Amino acid sequence: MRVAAFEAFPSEEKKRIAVQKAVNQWKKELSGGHAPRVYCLTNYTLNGIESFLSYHLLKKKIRPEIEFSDYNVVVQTLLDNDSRLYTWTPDFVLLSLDLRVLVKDFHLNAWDAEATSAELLDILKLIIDKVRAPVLVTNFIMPLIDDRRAAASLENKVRLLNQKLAEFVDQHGNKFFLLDMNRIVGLLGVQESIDSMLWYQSKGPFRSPFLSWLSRDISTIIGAHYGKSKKCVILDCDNTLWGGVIGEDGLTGIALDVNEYPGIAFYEFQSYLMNLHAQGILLAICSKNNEADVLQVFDEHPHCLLKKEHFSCIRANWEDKPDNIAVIADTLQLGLNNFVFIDDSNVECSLIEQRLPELDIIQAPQDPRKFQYIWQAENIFFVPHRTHEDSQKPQQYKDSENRRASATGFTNMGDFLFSLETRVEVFKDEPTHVERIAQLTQKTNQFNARTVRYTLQDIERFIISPKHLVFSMQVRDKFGDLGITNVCIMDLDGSGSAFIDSFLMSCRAIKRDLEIFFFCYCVEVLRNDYGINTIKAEFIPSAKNMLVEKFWEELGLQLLFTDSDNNKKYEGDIGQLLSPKLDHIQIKGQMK
Amino acid sequence: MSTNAELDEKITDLLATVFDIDKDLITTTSNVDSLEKWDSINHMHLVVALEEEFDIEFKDDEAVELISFELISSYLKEKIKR
Repeated sequence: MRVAAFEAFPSEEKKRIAVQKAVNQWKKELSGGHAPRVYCLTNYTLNGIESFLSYHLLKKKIRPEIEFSDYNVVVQTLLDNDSRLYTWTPDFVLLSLDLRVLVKDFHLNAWDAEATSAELLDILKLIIDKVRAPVLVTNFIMPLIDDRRAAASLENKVRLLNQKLAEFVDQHGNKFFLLDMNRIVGLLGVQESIDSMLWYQSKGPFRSPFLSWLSRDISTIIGAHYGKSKKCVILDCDNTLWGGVIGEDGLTGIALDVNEYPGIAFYEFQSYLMNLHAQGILLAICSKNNEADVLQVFDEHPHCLLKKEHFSCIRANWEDKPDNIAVIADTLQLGLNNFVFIDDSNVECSLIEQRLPELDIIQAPQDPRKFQYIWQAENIFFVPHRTHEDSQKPQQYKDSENRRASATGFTNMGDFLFSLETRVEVFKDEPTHVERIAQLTQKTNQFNARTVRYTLQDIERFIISPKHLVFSMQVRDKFGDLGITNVCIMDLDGSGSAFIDSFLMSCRAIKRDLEIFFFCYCVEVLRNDYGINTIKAEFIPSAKNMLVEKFWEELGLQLLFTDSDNNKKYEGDIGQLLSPKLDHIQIKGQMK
Repeated sequence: MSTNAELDEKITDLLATVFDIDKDLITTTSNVDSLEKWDSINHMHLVVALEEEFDIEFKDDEAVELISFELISSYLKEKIKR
């Protein structure tokens, strides 16, 4: 699908009727998939956002249910245990407060910012105590009054509140996500953002374009909780990473000089890509060029920020781009929907759109000034919880390339696996792994037996609960640290049997028997420490997880039946499960 | 907007979209009492939609009067003419 980037914001997404039409249509067409409940806790009228929020979520194949609190009863709603905020059990809560309602006589400016800040923090603390779902919170729109230097400056007061709010969100980054309203006003302008008449009539402050853009930001965050975020950018070279054609214009002829236009536009685009790389997003090249020409730019061009080592995979040749992309996906062991493809050629973009419809495509603009629209638009690379692992990811994929190169020297798989010197550590209910475990449930598509997605709060709950066990495994080898790659969540029924709620493995660890080792280890713990005799498991087929279709049978579990949704139910006595010898994996210490 | 029929068709389409109901349920005699989905929230959405689609603005007292197909039609004719 083409991602809107060069109409940074397509006009059909700005108008209520066009959006509502699409929503009415999609609601009829789309069934199945994720259907989260979103509760909007606001002190003003935000009901107008429903169509726009539905639109942007439906676009991601997510079918939301949306409810709104009543007008100006935020604290009452929070205190009332029978309010819909609790009884409806929403999956996400949107908290949005308008200062003109929160504060008495906002414009009269006699209010105390410190007192309001304390009131705001009280609301947020109440939410921490009582709301289980992730909370998306909007900051306050800066008043467009030039009174910075006045004794009681409205601007300074709002700035203070926004700062306090941002600090709070930073401290509680596991639960709270900040939506920056001022960024949207900045991008759209006041004319397209604020509707004074609607505010005076109905206490609804926003125009449709603003509601639509805010909805897009909300959808990005919600979508990322369902594994909809991207992991890798595949880039064309000529007229994408630099201006001109390296094969024709040569090293001195291409545009990339930070001191000149258009060179600076490409330099800025490379800066953006460098930032993505630093955050753990992988970069790859798919370009019709001689590889030597491309590498020469990376090595020798004085203004080229991107170097060969920033790319996890480089395919610069004259083969078909869809074929090259298939090789890249295979090398990095990622699904096609984890990629964003950026290319200036309409022909290439159309070809990929046809052959690989799962890919998100951004056609780079002919006008270099418009490159900045890419990062002004949706943050398609948003991940809900940044972990230590993310920033290490590019290095891990490099290690994986080395592992692959290393594999070619062996004729026997066993010898090769031995040579990797794999060392693992298994953890049970480990609180410091919560973020990574939640992230793995959200992002793992291929090696995932049931593909159940969990929030960080869910995992925290499992860890505390005696009815659930959460196992995680960290893997290292002679090439480096692969991080936490395996997760198993077990439900104990209290009478000697355990159900495997989740069993998954990051694709970077595939084909090393780690899943078998991990499973056998978890089962041993269940038998020895919990007196479990029977294991129940299930395979829920998805578009991506055929890799694990036979996994339970291979381990010796018996297929009981296949239900009407094609879900396969398994059961087995622990004593009858296979326990293969896996000498190439060393376990470090005892379980923590 | 050249003919009355075209305007009527556009209003019908707009009402059907905002209320998410079949076009056949809407006639030129439809009003706030005859359509269940025409509640206060949807009325707000309807006014915004009319303003956006016809590139006009309603005053406060006008917005509350747009409570039937006929009234919408006559207000639109007046505003578009101007």
